[in-house]
Order: sequence, then structure tokens, then C-alpha cells
Amino acid sequence: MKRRVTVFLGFFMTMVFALSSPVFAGEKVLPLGLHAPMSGPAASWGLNLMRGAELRAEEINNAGGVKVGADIYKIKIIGYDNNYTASGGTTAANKLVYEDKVKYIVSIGKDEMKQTKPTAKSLGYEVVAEEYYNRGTTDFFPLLTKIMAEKPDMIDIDAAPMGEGGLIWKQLYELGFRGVKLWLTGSNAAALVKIAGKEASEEVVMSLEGDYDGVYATATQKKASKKFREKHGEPMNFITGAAYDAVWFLEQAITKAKSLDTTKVRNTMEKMKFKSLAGEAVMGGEKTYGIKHQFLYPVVITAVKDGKSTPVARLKPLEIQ
Amino acid sequence: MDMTLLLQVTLNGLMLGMIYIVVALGLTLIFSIMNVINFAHGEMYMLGGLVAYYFSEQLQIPYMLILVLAMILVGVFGIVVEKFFFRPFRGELLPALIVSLGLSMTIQTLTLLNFGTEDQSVSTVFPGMINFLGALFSKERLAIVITCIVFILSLYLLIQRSKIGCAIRAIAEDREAAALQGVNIDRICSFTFGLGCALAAAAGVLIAPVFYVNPYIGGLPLLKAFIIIILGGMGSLLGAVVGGLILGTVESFGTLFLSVPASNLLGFIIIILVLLFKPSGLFGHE
Repeated sequence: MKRRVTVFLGFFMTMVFALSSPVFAGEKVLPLGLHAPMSGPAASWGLNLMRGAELRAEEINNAGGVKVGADIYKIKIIGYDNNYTASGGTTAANKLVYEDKVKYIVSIGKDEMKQTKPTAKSLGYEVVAEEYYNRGTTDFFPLLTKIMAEKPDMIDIDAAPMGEGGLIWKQLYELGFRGVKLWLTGSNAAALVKIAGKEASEEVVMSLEGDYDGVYATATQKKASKKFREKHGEPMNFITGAAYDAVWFLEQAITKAKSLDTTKVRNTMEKMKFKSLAGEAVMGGEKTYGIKHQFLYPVVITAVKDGKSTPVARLKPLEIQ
Repeated sequence: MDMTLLLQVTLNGLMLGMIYIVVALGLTLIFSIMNVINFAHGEMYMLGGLVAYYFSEQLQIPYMLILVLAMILVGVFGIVVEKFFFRPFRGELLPALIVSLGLSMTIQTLTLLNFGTEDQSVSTVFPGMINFLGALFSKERLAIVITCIVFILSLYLLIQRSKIGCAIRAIAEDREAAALQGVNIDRICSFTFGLGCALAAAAGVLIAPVFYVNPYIGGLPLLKAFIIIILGGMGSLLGAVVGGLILGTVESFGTLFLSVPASNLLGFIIIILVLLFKPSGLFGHE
């Protein structure tokens, strides 16, 4: 089986180009916005995102805060539920920008197909079907019947959230699919097995589960995961890790730029190398998205074996090989 | 085109249609005698799924018993809801509609607070697949189709052959005339509302092992039920059955020839066409 390197990540930091920053004057507080799905089918992503961001913010604040030249700022995370819809995202962004006056927002990205399809083609695969569904769909039989008619050897369910993804694998198994199973945003083997059952979940390859306690985990990942486990009773996963990293990246860029000016911070980010939980990270993705704003860092690919998550490999993006 | 594929798509449509029908039957039944468009009907479906989750996963009660228990529990809940929230507005379309919207949000939020946002799965009762002339159909889906047919026939017999069914039909026809004949309007409305909610709960219980349970699952079946009863004719049980089969088949074939988003649109296109050319629906009264 060819492994597909997920050279881009589903998370990005959007910089908001506000000209003024009245909140900061004298208060030395750096409000950091976060909008993510915190209700509905993708709620677990948003809630985990919040937990990860808060953990890093707490660490930074406990260590003194973010140094901006001679000033020191404490980070305050302001989170909103975007309901996993475009309108919810707009409302959350408007609140953050106009009411909370934040300059930086952590959010969750999408549009993975822009990268997935060309990557599959470049590896010599023929893409026989590309289908989309409405969020909230539960019966995938009609859609999967159509895909199965093309007799695919491999199926990647890409950005399907946990519950819907579980149903897709379950129904694909019922329809007789026994090929290679990929799930770009798959992040929780235990939850998958619960919804899809053990047989249907077997050999599902996921790239967001991470391995923050396992054999491929870095020392930094293990340390952060230990703290996270003490706080929330479960290990870190890719979502919490990505949010943790996002706040950390911002701290590093602001410290290096010696400024809170969004343009200066952005320009610094595009050129610098970051420390991340998984190791070195850089910004990339220009070829796919037309802008160099995707964080690239190593990921651990896992597969479900005998109903349990098993690490398969640790892969580095080409940009930091 | 491959015959196996056509058979598979037809079976998919049948399964979809059956679940839609059971949800829609309750909705149209309530409308027929109370003139209430119950937006909280989807929540009764969700509560059925929730009961299935607790009784099956936490208490390990046999599934058929869960089906009966869920219908009784949600049916009684429906009777209470009817008495306190809908009876004061019986026959008044708009106030009852607003009450039902508020009720829907209240039930959903209360469930969210107590149940959480996580999707919960219910273990399958009939594992395994059936290969029918090359088309695959899971045993649990087949069980759903059979159970739904039993429900549809039982409801038909209840409405057409029983005394209480006669009273329901009398109220649907002319409430005042029925009252003059000695039909206890309050009691029959209460029973019918409870029965409608119990049917929605039954659909929720049946579908829980196939999909998953969370506080939001009621929205989609409710939407489909509305499409069906507009297509079949508001208040018509036969209309709900025919409408459900049409919608299930159209969506299944629509996905095959078009896409999922386009197939979802077809339902709304049907509504627009029906409202334009036959506003009473296929089997509704003018």
C-alpha cells in the first residue's frame, strides 16, 4: 500500500487585519479568538480545539506571557461555536473582530480535496469517483452504491467528521467494500469502532489520530499529553495538538517580530521555522492554495488493528525533509 | 445499466422510504384531527433513539421490548404535551405552530444538556448481510422494512376497522358533527397525538442501530416527513405511504444519476411543483 503523505494540515491561523487595538492599551492582554464547531456533528473537533489552545495559553501565561519588545502580554482565549456552517463562521468571525477586537483567530480549515486529488493522481492512482454530501446525512447507502459501482480499490473519506465517518465505513462494509480505507481527518479509533463496529473499522488508516504517548511521539508531545491527560483525563490527539501548536506558533512569531502588528507577524511567519509538538514546522501550501499559509509538520499515520489504534509511520512533509 | 445496481438503488430507496413513512404517518395523523403542524415531531423520533440507546446499551433490555417501551414512554409524553401545550390552541394553525417550534427547541436543548453532543451508537440487533440477486442488504435494514410494513398495516387496521379509528376519522371529517354523535374530542385528540408521537419514537428506535443517536437527529426525518405529507396530501395516511415511497425512490435514484446535494434538492422541487399544480397533494382534500 502506498502511503500518502499529508503535507498539509487542516488547521490554519487567520490573521485579521485590524488597524487599531484598543483592548491592549494598558491592559497587557492579548485576546486570541477561536471559532470552531462546538455543537452538532463535528462538536468534538471544536471542543478539543478549545482545550488544546487553552492548555498552551495557560503554559505561556504561567511562564510569564508573550514578550513583545519590552512589553509582556497574557493570552486570553475567546471561543465561539461556528455550528460548522458558513453562516455560523461569519457570525463568529464578526463577533471576534468587531466586538472582542481580536487580531488573531484560530480556526479549523477545510477544502482538503484540493490537495488530496492531485496527490493521489501524482502517486499514479486514477480517481474514479469524487462525491460530496450534506452535513447531517446518515444514510449513505445511495451515495456509496454509486461509488461502489465504480469498483474502487481504495476509498478516502477525507474530511468526514467522526460520527458521519463512522457511518460511512459501516455502510461501506455492508455494501461489500474490502479495499484500502483512508480517512484523512480520522482522529479517534475508539469512537470509530463504537459506531462502525470492529469489522468495518479494521484497517482504516487515519492521519489525525496522532500518537502523543506512543512509539513515534516526540518528548515534547509526551510532556504536553501528560499535562493534558492530568487536566482532561484523556491523551492529546491531533486536534488538541494542532490548537496547542497554533497558539505556540503565534507566540513564537510575535516574539520574533517584536510586534503585534498583523502584517509584520504574518511576514515573519512566512519566513521562519517554528518549534511544534511534532518537531520542526514551516509554512507552505502555496502551490495548492495560492498562499503560503498552511502549517506543515510531521504527522503520525495510524491504522485500526484488532479494534485498536496502531501507529504505522511518522511522516515528514517534503518541505522540512 | 447494470441490473444489480438498479436493484441495489431500488432497495436503498425502499428502506429510506419506509422510515420516512413511519415518521410522516404520525405527523399527518396529528394534523388530520388537530390541524396542528408539529415541529416537535422530529424530537419524538430523537427521544425514541435516546430511549433505545439507554435501554439497549446501559440496561441491555431485549430490543423488541425496547421498541414497545419507547412507544409507551414517548406516547405518554406526547399525551402530556398535547394536554398542556397544544389543547389550548387546537385548530389554530399559527399559535400551535409557534408552540411546537418552541417545544422542539426546548426538548433539543434539554437533551443536549443531559446527553451531551457526542454521537452514541446502539449495537446492531441483526448483524450480517443478505445477498439478493447480487444486491446487498443488511439484515437490520430488512428487519426495519418488515417492521415498518407491520406498523403501516396495523395503523391502517386501527383507523379503518376499530371503534377508536372510526372516531378519529369522524373528527378528521367534521369535529362538531363527531362531538354531536358523542365522540369525546379531548380523549381522541389526546390518544391520536400520543399515537403519532409513539410512531415517531418507533422510527427512532428502529433506526438507532443503523445510524447513531445525538440530540440533533430529529431534524432531517422531520423535514422529509413534511415533504412527504405535502406530496401525499396533508392528513392523508395513504398519501403519506405513497409520498414516502416516491421520495425514497427519487432520492435514491437522484443520488445515482446526480449527486447527494442535488438529490436533496429534488424533494424541495417536488414540493414546489405540488404546491403550484396540486396544492392539496396526491390524496388530500381540497
